[in-house]
Amino acid sequence: METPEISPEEKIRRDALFQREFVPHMDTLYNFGFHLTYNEVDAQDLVQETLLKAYRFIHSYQEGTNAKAWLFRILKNAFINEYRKRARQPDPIDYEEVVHYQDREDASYSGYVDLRQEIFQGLMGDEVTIALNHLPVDFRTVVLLCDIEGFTYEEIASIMDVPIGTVRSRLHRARNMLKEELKTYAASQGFKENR
Amino acid sequence: MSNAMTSHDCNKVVLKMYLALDGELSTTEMQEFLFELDRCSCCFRSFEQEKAFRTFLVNKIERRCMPENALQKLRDTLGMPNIARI
Repeated sequence: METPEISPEEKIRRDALFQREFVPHMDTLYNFGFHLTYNEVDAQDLVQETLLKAYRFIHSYQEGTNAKAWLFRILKNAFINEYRKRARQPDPIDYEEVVHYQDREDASYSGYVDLRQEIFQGLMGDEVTIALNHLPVDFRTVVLLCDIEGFTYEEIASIMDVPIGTVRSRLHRARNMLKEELKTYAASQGFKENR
Repeated sequence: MSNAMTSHDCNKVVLKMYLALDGELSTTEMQEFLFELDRCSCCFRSFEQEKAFRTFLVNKIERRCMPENALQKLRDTLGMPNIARI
């Protein structure tokens, strides 16, 4: 990457900052990109694009701020811009319904899906990954950001550009959809509830 | 599951359960939540099941690392041969 406008000393400083603040998140970025696309090449392209963009704007980065959330936000936007538009069909999920759903406070949490431990413990990682892949991408994203990457609701809202209430409702619905998927699969494999 | 005499509302506890497991409750809210779990075995069981499900998810979802060839491409593109996985 050419950076003719900066001095050699500044280049050294920026490279060190990049290595220190951004590179440690490379593998988690790749993992996130892979679960979004389920394609290794696309995931690699997303990480490349994300890190190149971060480097390009590294002069605006304040050291010690939330680099990981910033990088995930860049990757998510790159995914939307470059990959989601490839889809020929609009997403079948009614997002207006989701937004309204989170406004109903307690009522939105009445649909708790009970998935007993003994049912799902027999499932393998591949089956869980497949079930996750079956979720609509916005629902898959919140599960990955919250349960796998450990972001707070506020950070997820910032990464996804949605209100915190929407993060909560999507998480709730995504986990229930995932449980239903796993429950159906477990039942098909002979696992039974032992009440 | 609800007990009107003590105003325990299982639906509200389930709502708090997700927040508790996601680390979104304050210390005071967490204490109140744990108190409610002590009052209702159904809520406690739901909490234990949800906690187990989260652990299960975290342990089972496949994790992948950036391949070495992609890392090399990044080094070449940025002109930073010393980029190293930490």
